[in-house]
Amino acid sequence: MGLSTSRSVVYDVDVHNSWSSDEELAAYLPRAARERFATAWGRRLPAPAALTYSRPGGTTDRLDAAPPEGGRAGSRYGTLAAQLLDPHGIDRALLTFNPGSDGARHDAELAIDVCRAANDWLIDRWLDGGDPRLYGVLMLPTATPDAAAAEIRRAGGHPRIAGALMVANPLNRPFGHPVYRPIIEAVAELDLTLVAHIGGDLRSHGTAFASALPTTRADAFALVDQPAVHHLTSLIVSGVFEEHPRLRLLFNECGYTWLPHVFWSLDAQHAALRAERPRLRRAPSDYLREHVWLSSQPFDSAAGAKKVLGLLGAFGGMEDRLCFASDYPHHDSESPSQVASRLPRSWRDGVLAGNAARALRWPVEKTIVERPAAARPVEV
Amino acid sequence: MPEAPATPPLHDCFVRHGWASDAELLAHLPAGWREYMVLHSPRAWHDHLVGAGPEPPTPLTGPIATQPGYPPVPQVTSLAQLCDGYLGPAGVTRALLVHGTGLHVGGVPTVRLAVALTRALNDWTLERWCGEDLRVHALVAVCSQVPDEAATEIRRVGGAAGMAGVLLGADGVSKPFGHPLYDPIHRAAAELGLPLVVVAGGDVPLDAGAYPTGAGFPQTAVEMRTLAHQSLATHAASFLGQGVFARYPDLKVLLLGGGLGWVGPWLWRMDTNYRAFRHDVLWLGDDPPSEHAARHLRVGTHPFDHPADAGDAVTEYFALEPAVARMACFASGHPGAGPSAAAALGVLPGDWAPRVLHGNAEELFGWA
Repeated sequence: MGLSTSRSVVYDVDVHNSWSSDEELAAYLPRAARERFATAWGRRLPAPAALTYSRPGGTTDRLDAAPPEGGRAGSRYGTLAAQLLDPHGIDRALLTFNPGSDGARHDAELAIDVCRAANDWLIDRWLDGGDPRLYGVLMLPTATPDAAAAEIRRAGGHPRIAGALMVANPLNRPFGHPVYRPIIEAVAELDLTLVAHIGGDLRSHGTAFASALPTTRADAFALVDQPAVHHLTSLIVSGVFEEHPRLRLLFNECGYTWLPHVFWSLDAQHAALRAERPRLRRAPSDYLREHVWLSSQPFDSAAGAKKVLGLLGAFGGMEDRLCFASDYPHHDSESPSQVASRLPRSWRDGVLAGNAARALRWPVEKTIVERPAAARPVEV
Repeated sequence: MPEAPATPPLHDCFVRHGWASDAELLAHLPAGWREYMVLHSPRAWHDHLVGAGPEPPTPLTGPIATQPGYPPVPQVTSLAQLCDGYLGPAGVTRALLVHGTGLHVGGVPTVRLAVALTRALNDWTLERWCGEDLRVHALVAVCSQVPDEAATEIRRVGGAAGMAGVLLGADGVSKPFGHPLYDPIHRAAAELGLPLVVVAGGDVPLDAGAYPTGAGFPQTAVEMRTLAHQSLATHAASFLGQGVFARYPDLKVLLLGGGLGWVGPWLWRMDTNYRAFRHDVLWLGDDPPSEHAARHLRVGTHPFDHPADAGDAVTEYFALEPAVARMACFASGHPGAGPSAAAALGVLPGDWAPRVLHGNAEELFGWA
């Protein structure tokens, strides 16, 4: 940290927390499910070939993020606070699981129990743990939308639950598909934010890529935004934002450089779209600019900030839509200062906190505060 | 209203052609398969010809069930219609014929029939479309489900006058086209100096766990069109990722049907990931993926969708990534709703015109 006595408020919309071992989660399962969960079959998530590509260092995580007392990266509050929240002055962090695709497991009944357990674990171990900076999202059994909606109504009223996480896609249907409508309705009813994240589709039973599985990690990672782009167009085209005018969608780690060409195309076909979806009164990009926020990850460093900002500028700017995300503890995680350093000054407050505040219904009036650099942010 | 003939050459890399009646194509089938299709098929026999691909009806064509027959996709059905109705009036100096309904034929699950049909398609194309008008060029259709036989077919007709490349339409086995499984096709095309042409919309087989888009089957035709680039990106990445161009340094691939807009940001993603994952793709050497892409990949302009009032912004957008200028080839998608040359030129950066209208296609196909 510098010596400055003032700094921006920082909200981090994508922090991946994990249970340290399956046993830690199992303690939150009902007894019958605990026994099933302990079997090899019960633990098994769909693991398509897409997950067997190489990873630098054999992991997606920062090598230094492994807690000294053992367990997975992101599984210990102390390490997470010491590596992320404290040094980078994070005022609020949205815990998003890693990546929360347990709802995709083969045993759909068990998935319901596992998601309930994960949400109870989240509330017990993280949200009720005394650190006022921590907020969370609910993990959902997306293969059973009615059960997912029931889970939202059961646990979504907790004051630190800011959203519901739609990430697993075991039904192989884009998220605007009518089958998911119970989930959308429950999210809207509780005034939560619908949160999506890249990568959950890798646990789908079908392919998470258009046409075929990529052949190496290098090309897979250049294509891993495909389901996200499709989920987003699908949600917008489905008309859910007409049905629920206050519904908010936060899309994490799916990039944003694809926005111009996709939304130019959708807008250009608005008339054809209305023939297919008459309820869609406005241009697709209007819904994007009113209801959707995207995280700052990943940044196309090879292109550089000038090209990336030029692209967003051509699209009319995204300064009110992008939200800072550290993506801790992943290997490509970024600090607020890294992200801020490549943004125009006029974008910084919004990207670091203001946009997340609107996306997640967090306080927006504290966007700029003065405080000694060493002091902890004070919870309101 | 036809455009005034352009003075500079105008090469169109994407014109859909098809047969006027099934009899045209059936005449080129061996008697046994003809009998199978007409007399003994468990399905309406013309379903085999249209391939029953996954492409849904579009708002432009209406539901297939309401069509007076097939084909459901717009396509020119005679050489005269092509030359007098389009090439002349629009001032097109070269036209690449890319099948309409024929695109799916190589994916027919009755694989021996698929092989016979692709042979018939090629003989029909040579007989009806090639050799008479030197502006007209075509592609060798192959059954990619059986790559060795596809290679045989490429060698059988790939050298014929008018054949300009190899068409990878239907993907019979749900592997990206850069997969080593398809090496016989890569090798045969490279040997004959023919580019490979991948067309979005024809590449998802009926019986594989794959969809044309990332998150399952699209619910609307508009999304199908907007996201058509996704399958092209999957195939393109696999050509780079599998080192196909290291094995065949002169091989080129043309990607049609997904427009141009996706290319720049996709190159940025590829280059960024290359920094982390280059141990997966050592054959790319010191050059980033975007450089390999600019050397070996070409991309058609169709569809070219943007709001009418976004012209300047789109120009600004394309100018950000000059590599795309080396890759872009004018492609109308005629007779479907595609860009005219004037529409594309109206928004692409001004100095791109010579490359987009003819230069890149000339290099690609050896069209002087």
